[in-house]
Amino acid sequence: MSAKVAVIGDQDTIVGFRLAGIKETYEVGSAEEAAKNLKSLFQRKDINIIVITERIAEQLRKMIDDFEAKKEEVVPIIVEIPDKKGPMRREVTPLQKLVKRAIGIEIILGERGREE
Amino acid sequence: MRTPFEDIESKLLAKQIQALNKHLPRERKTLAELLKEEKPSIVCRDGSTHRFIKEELRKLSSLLPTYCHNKLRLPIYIELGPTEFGTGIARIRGEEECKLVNKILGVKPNGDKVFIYRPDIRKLRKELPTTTQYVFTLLT
Amino acid sequence: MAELIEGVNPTRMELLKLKERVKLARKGHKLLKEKRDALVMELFDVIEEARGIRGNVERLLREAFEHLIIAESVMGVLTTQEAAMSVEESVGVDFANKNIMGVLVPLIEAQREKKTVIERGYELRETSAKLDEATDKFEDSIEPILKLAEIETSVKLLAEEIEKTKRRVNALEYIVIPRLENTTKYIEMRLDEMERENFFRLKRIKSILAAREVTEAPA
Repeated sequence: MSAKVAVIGDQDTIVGFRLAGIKETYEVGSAEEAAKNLKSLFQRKDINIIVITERIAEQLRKMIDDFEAKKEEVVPIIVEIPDKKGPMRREVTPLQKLVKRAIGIEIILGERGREE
Repeated sequence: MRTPFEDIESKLLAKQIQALNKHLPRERKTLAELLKEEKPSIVCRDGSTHRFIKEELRKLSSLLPTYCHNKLRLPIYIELGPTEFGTGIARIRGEEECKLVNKILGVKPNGDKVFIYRPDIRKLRKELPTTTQYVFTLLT
Repeated sequence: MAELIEGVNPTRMELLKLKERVKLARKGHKLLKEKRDALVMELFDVIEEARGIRGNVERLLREAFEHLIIAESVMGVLTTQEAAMSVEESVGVDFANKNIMGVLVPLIEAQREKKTVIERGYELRETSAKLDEATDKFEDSIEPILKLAEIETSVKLLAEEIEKTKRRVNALEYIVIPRLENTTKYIEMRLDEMERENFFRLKRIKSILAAREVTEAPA
């Protein structure tokens, strides 16, 4: 099965991934705009992966969590990436919470960790 | 002597074992067959499709002489189950399979079967993530 | 103390049946524990992989943005944007599954024609070498980003399956097996009691009969 990647991000992120050959890109200036685009991407059957910047994702945390909790298939997969300002430091990611519940251990998924 | 309810109960256990092994293929394919496929895969008992990573198939083909390629059936079964010696012990059976385990882990097989322990199971899974599959069974 | 199974008749048959059930439940419990342990092992390996890849993505993107920002300052933001808009679509994904103990984990592979500078589609005259470098870096980041999507999803799915398996292991360990064992004990106790009662009843009957024999004996 061949599928597509979509990107939601600020202007520079979009320019970057356009250059790399991804056409399904959504430049968003506000959280409302991002929410609207994300919502319509959730409906699309041809989009398997949604790349979104951490900063925008953080503003839509509830919407993303709800979607992840409700979705019945594995796809679309939402993957959060840093923007030009660099990786965001977060207390705990949803993934960390899940792993902790499953095996009772705190894990750090970033390379250096997000603590300093 | 088996009583009738022993049979009923062991049927229940058999059912549970079946449920634990739904990820196994309906039918295995040989390495030679899979090397020819564009997108090498098999159908599992649960109806899902399990894809093999081509790189792994190539690795296997380089570890085994060509005449073995149509003897090795994939995925390789790592049989896990409680034994009298404890848990976390796996058995791998088959001539070709044993050769591979010997080459990858340096463990000497005992005839056409070999027992490996957790660190080695982990290493084998890391080397062959799609071409090995756990099987849950009663080893003793 | 755990509860008893309701509505079980205290008979020898039932006792045998229960003893068999305990034995099998213990086997089932051990098997499930093997599955749980194997899943945890798989999860550890995936987490290890996820760590490295996230770091890799972060590094690649940092470099990519650095190049992009330089390109923008050399060429102007507008020209850069125009160049970006003229690049042809070239990224697709091959989406498959691998089945780890019933958990369908995605296998994601980028299907990408890596383009030469000329094939990229933007006008060379107007663009700087910096733009090409930025493009290279963003292209390079796509594969690790897809890998990240694959790995993080695997972590999530495996963690969920571990939780489910743990619940089943615990149910067997703390509810099902103790209940079976207690019921076994209860039946054994009842059977003992009944035997003792029978014994005394028989004794009484015997003595009554004996007494009757004495009184009814012909004088």
